[in-house]
Formats: sequence, C-alpha cells, structure tokens
Amino acid sequence: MNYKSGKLSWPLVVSLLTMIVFPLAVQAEKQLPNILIILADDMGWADPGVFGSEIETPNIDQFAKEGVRFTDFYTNPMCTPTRVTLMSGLDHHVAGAGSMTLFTAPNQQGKPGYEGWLLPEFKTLGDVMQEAGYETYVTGKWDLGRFPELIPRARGFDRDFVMLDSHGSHYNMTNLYADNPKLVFTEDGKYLSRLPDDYYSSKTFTDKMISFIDDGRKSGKPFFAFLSYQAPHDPHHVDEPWRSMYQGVYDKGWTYFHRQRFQTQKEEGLLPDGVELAERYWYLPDSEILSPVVRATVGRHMELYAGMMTNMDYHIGRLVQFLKDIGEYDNTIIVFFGDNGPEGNNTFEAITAPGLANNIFRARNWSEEHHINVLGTPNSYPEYGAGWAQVSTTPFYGHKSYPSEGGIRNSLIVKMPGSELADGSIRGDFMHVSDIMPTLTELTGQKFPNGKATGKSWLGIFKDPDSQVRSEDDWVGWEIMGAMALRKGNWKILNNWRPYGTGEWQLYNLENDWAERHDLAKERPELLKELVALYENEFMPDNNIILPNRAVSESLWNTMPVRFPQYDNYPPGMYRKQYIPPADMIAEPKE
Amino acid sequence: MNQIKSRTFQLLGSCLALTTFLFVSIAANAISLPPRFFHKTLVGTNFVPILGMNVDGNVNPLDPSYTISSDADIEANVVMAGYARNFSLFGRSSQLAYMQPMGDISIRSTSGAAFPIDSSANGFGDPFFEFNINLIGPAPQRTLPDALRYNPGFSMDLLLDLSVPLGEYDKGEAVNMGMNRFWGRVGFPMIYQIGDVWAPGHRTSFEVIPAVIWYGDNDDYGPTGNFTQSTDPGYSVAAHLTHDLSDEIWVSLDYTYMQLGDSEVGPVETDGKSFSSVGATIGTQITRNMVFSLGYQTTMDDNDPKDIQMSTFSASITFFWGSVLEGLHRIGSDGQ
Repeated sequence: MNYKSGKLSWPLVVSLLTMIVFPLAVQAEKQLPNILIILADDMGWADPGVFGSEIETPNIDQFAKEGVRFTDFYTNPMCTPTRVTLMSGLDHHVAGAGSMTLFTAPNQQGKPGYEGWLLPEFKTLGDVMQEAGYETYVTGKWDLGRFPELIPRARGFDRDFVMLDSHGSHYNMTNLYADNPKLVFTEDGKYLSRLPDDYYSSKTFTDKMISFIDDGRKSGKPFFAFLSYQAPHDPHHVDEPWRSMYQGVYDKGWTYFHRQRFQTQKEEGLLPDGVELAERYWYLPDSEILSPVVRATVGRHMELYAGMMTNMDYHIGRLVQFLKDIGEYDNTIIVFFGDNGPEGNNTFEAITAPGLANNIFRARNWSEEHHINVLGTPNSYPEYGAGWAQVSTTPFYGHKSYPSEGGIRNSLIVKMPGSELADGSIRGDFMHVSDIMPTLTELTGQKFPNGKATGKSWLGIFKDPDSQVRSEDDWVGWEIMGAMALRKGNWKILNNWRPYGTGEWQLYNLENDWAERHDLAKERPELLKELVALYENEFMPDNNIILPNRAVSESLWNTMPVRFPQYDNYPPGMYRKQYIPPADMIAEPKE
Repeated sequence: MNQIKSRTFQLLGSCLALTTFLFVSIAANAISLPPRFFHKTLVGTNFVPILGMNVDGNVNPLDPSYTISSDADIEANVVMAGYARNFSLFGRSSQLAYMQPMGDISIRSTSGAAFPIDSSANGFGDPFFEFNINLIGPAPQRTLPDALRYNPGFSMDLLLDLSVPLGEYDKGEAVNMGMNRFWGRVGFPMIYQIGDVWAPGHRTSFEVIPAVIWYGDNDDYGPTGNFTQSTDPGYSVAAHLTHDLSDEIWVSLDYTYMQLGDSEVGPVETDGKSFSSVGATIGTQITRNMVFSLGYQTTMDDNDPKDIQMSTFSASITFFWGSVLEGLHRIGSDGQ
C-alpha cells in the first residue's frame, strides 16, 4: 500500500480506524434504536388495563396495542433480586443479592453473593449500553447499593436521578427505620442533600428522564433509558385528582374484583383454556360479608393503589408524548414490566411493630395513617394487604416474596420497532428478567459480559414469530428466604413455606394450572424427583444457593390460621341472596 | 381485619362528632351564626345541644334588632337547649332544629337620674326554629362510608330561621325574655374547604354566611306597652376561619358584621346602626357522643355610648346519637 499515492487518504484511514476501534458506537449512532425500560414496583400481573384490570392505564395499554403482551414472563420474588438480575443478567444469588438485606439469614451473612447489592465486579446494562455507544440514563428506584462504587454513576449511567433505597415516602426523604431515617438519592453522581421542590416520585422521575433525553439529543447517540418507578409500591401516596378518582369503586370488595378480573382475562384471551382462579387466601373473608364501612375502609387502600397506577401511567404518557414530539418514539424499543408480585405481607406493620425503635419512628413520622381521607397524603402509610394483592395477581396464587406464580410472574409488554409479531398480539413464551441483558447484548452486537448467561435473548421471536424464547428443556429456578421453585417447560416444582405452601415439594402443570391448585406430586413422582434433582444438583450449586437457617416466614405456620381449601362460591358470599318463594306459594298466616 | 374494623369505627365516631360539632351553637346569641355549624353529618343523627352564655353590653342579646338602651348595663345569663336532626330532603342534606332560650336578664341604667332603670326578667324566651338545606355540595351522608368520605369542598346552603313569640313578655318592662314579635332570617351559608384533606387533625375551612333578617311588629312595646315597634330588614355577614389543631381540638377566628334596619317606635324613627364583632371559638370531643366548645365574641369600635356594645362568653355541650352508631356501640363494634 503506497500511502504517497494518495489512493488512501488520512481521513479515510482515521475513519477506518475509528470503525475498528469503536464499531459499536458507530453502529449505535447509525442503526440502533433507542431503548426504554419502564419498571413498575410491586405491581401485579393483573394490574395494567390490558391484563384484565379495571384500573385505567391508557398509555401502558397503548404499548400493548403497538406491541406484544407476554403472559409467561417471570421476575424474581422480591425487588432487589429482580433488579440485580435485570442489571447483570445473572441469578441474584451470584450477583450479590442472595437475599434481601433485611432478611439475610445468619448462615448467609458474610458469604459472597449475599452482600445485599449488585457486586461491583459485574457489568451492568448501563455499562454494556454505554460501550455500545448509547447515552445511558436512569431515574427512579435504584436499590442496587448505596456506596459510591455502587451508585449509577459508577455503574455505567451517564445521567441519573435515583432513590438508592428500597422503599419510603413518595413525597420526601422519610424512610421507615429509626436507624436509617432518611432516604438517600443521587443525581448525576452526587448524593443529594435535599429533594427538588414539588417532588413526587413518579412526576420527578419522569421529569428528570425527559430532561436527560432532551439534553442528550445533541450527542446524536441513541439512548438507553431505565425509568424505574417507585410506584405503585407502598406507601400508596398519590396526589389529587388521582387520590380521589376511584373513590367508592372498590367498595364492592376484593372478592368481586378477583372474579371480575378473571372474567375479563378470559374474555381478552389472556388465559389458556382450563385455567382456574386461585383460591382465596384462607385467612381472608369473602369481602361480600364485610360491613359497608369496613369495605369502604379497606377499599380505600385499593383506590389509592389504582390511583397510583393511573398516575404512573399519566407520567408515562408525558414521556411518550415527549418522544413523539422529538421524533424518537417510533425508533424506541419500549419494555414495560413489574419487578415482582404485589406486596401482600403488610411489611410496614412488621417493620414498625410495637416494641421496636421503628415503632417510635413511625409514631413520629408516619402516624397519620388512619383516616380514610388522610390515606394517600404525605404522612400516611397505606399498604393494601393480602386481599387486594390477590386481586393484583389474578388468576395466580401468592404474592411478593413467594415463588408461587403470583410472586414471580409479571405482565410484560414489549414494543419493538420492526417486529414481525403482530401488533396487539399475546404470547406465552417462557421468559425471565435475566433475558434482558442477553437480548440487549445481542441487539448491540456484544458478548454477555458477566460469565455464563442463563438468560435467553428475545430477539429471535421478534424476527421469527414461530420461534420460542425457551425450549421445553430450558428451565429457570428461584430461591428466596428458603422458598424454592423451578420451572422447566410447563412443569413447575414449588417448595413454599407453610401455610402458604406445604413445606414439601409440590408439582404443577402450568399448561393450564396457572393458579397452582392441583398438586401432582403424588401422581407424577418420577417427574417430581427429576425436577427436584435438577434444582438441587444444578440450580443450587451453579447459582450459589445457600438455604437460610432462619427465615421470616418460618413461623407463619404457627402464627397464621390453619389453612383449609377455599373453593369458588363457597361460602356462597356474594351469591347469597334473600330467598323469594314462588308467588303462588306465599300465604298469610292462619290466625 | 379486626384491627381495621376497630379503627374504622373509632374514626367514624370522632369524625361524626367533629363534623357535627356546633349544632349546639344554633344561637350563641340571637344573631350569631357560629363556625362549623353547617358541616354535614350522617342522615338520621340526632342532637341535643345545650348552650350556656353570659352576655354583657348595652343591648338585649335576645332581641335581634339590638335596640340600644343608652348608658345601660345589660347582663344576661341564658341557656339554650333543644333538639335537632339531620335528614335528606329532595336528595339534599338537610337539618331541622328547635331551640328554647331560658334564663334571666337584667338591666341597670342611670342615664336619666330621675328615672333610673333597674329591671330584670327570667323564664323562657321565644322558641326558635331553623331549617337548613344544602344547595351546592356533597350528597347526603346516607351510609357510614358516606360520612367517612365527607369533604365539603365548596358548599352552599339555604338557611331559614323563624323565632315565634311565645316566650315570656311583660308589657312595660324594660327587658323581657320574649320579644313579642316574630323575626326570621334567610341566609346562604357557604363553606370553602382549604386543603385537599378533610379528616380529624386536617380540617381547615373558610366559612361565610350572608343573611337577611326580617322582623315583625311588637304592638306592646315601650314603657307603657302602648307603642308599636317596627324594624326594617337588616343583613349580616358572618365569617369564620376554622382549623384543626389536632385530631380532637379545633379553633376558629370569628367575625360578624351586621347592618340593622331602620326602626320605628311610635313616632320615633331611628336609623339602623351597624357593628362588627370579633371572637374565637375552641372545640373538642369529650366522650364518644358528646362535644364541647368555648367561645368569646365582642363588638369592635364601640367606645361611643351610642354604639352597640356586647360581649358574649359561651360554653356549649352537644349530645348526639344515631341508631347505627348506638347499635355498634352496644355490640362493642365501635372500638370504644
């Protein structure tokens, strides 16, 4: 090659070198779509309108109309584990959040993988998307660590406005703990001394995300945006008019809505034939028997939850409108899901129980929680409890912190520009939150950065609708605080704490037993044995599972009422009516 | 669940008590329209208000035309007791009340040294009836959830009052418990809720009550009882800024302006006077179904002997009950 010949100019050399050195960046700038991941916090599978809910979520619904609803998408049973897996593509026991920090067992303490945050040695989605030439933004709940080496600025995000903690006020920095009274936030790598004026979680997180995207437009790069809402996690704080928009709606009670959503889901084609509705928790009454004032009071909690959902949807709509205004909406992949099942444990009550220092903290900071008209305002702490959590997980059994379907299956909507899948379609691919990292690394032409990937890329199904994300031989395992589960194909084994479970391995066929009502362990002992062996011999050792020697759920068998089967329509409850005899058989008494 | 139920009924009791509080002050004096009087409560709730007041000034507090007795010192110790009930009428929240004044009143005047007045009266005053119906605002509270969810927002009522001359009246006496004439009032009480939370410990309201007052004639008026007392209609505006200090204590800053109508006693015509008074009220709940308040109000800019002067110290107790609330209490479901 004769450089003096002039056949190869220096600018061309520089360009070629640039393409060799920064191939991904060039690819990103010229070809790749923007990516927006929207994560809801403690939202149930059945809460978006397009998953059978009565809650108004028009903007989320629009994603489904322009994209695809996935009915068999799984997360982990709790928030930090899901977020760790989302960010790293790894099982949470490997990546640093083997358990929630609050619930780390004595035999797990100090063990690698059980630190309670995403270990810094693993690359995050922020890292890989940054390396792919994306502008990377995160706003909302981080929940992956509070030390400087763990905050978004250190984990591959160019811009951030995040709450580092797991939960707390939606209006200010009030936390739940006497020894940890203030929530900690960062903005662009700095810890905040105070929150912006007029702060409300969903509003501010959206405002910041819009401003980040707007500021980043001049770079010409696509953006990777992780909008991690704190809503609808308790406390169920929300402003007017959303605070009042569902007033009285939920007076009908959880039993009514449990059945109503199930019916809507069937009509919408979300459920395979033969799927039953999960049994109502044995410790909850049929809401039909509750007095009107009690139904109004407990219904108020669901009013606020629904208001938060609609409020979150409203802010999502603002972001969508902004993307349309700047001409980026059509070139943006949107992924929407919730991080785990809904909160049905009344955790706040446990954390702030009488006798604890947190109880005094609660009295000082969270005391005004009691009146129906106060609930939802800044100093109240509404959490909606197991009755409504069951509605949120319709038709599943279980809720957050359990690997029953209601605790781990969540509604996923993906809007993928250029997808071969029909707009508005519903698919039942077996998917997991660990798939997102492999999907995005494949999209950007990178290798999975954190060792062996257990997740599966989703890109194939968007190119070939006949393909599946997982084969019948692929499996995913779960463990949280000693509760265990594994799904392989349509078969699932579950070992849940009594009385939510039996304390023994159970076997379910998820082809049509989504509600986990029919334990087939005795009918299919060989299959059970095979799957348990898979769990114990592959999932546990490969994923650093250390079963806890203590767990918060271990005493539930003793403190909760004895469980009994609860079948639909018995007791008759809402179907109990005054009997009116045939008119021709009614007579006056003979005097 | 039990905890929710217990808490719910406890709240309901205090909620009802505090929203219905000052039915008692139906007539802190004859004209005054007290704070939180027009807040609504559960349909079917019954009230027995008992109001004691001590009034000191130069007018008869039971006479809504406030005829000045020059250089007089009038003192009244009056109790007003009665019964009231909330109900729904034409789909709107309504109230009907009956109040009966009783007590004693005395006057002492030395303005005409030759004829000093030193007179007193006691017994029953004129019974007073009040009807109130909401025109703009929340629907009637027919159920316990309605009561819990009550938010006045902006509310406006129609108020109709009538005092019937059945009280004790002696011709020729300088003061009487009865007025010997009808009088009435038409008003439009308005409430503006400040803030979006209406619950014990959070309530703040600004209340304005414009009203027109009309009077019948007293044909047995004056020292001899041979004069006719006629008074043109007057009007008043009462305003209150009320605020909850805590879940169970609230206070109010009170202001009243009144323009009296021109009056005529025999051949003597007098231009109607105007006056303003300011005061404060504090209220609280004592038991499950009894509330209590203290108030003080005094006229402003009243140094001229011809100015109306009146200071009122009042204390009130209101008992209230409703069939559902009592039933819940009897079976131990109200958390008390």
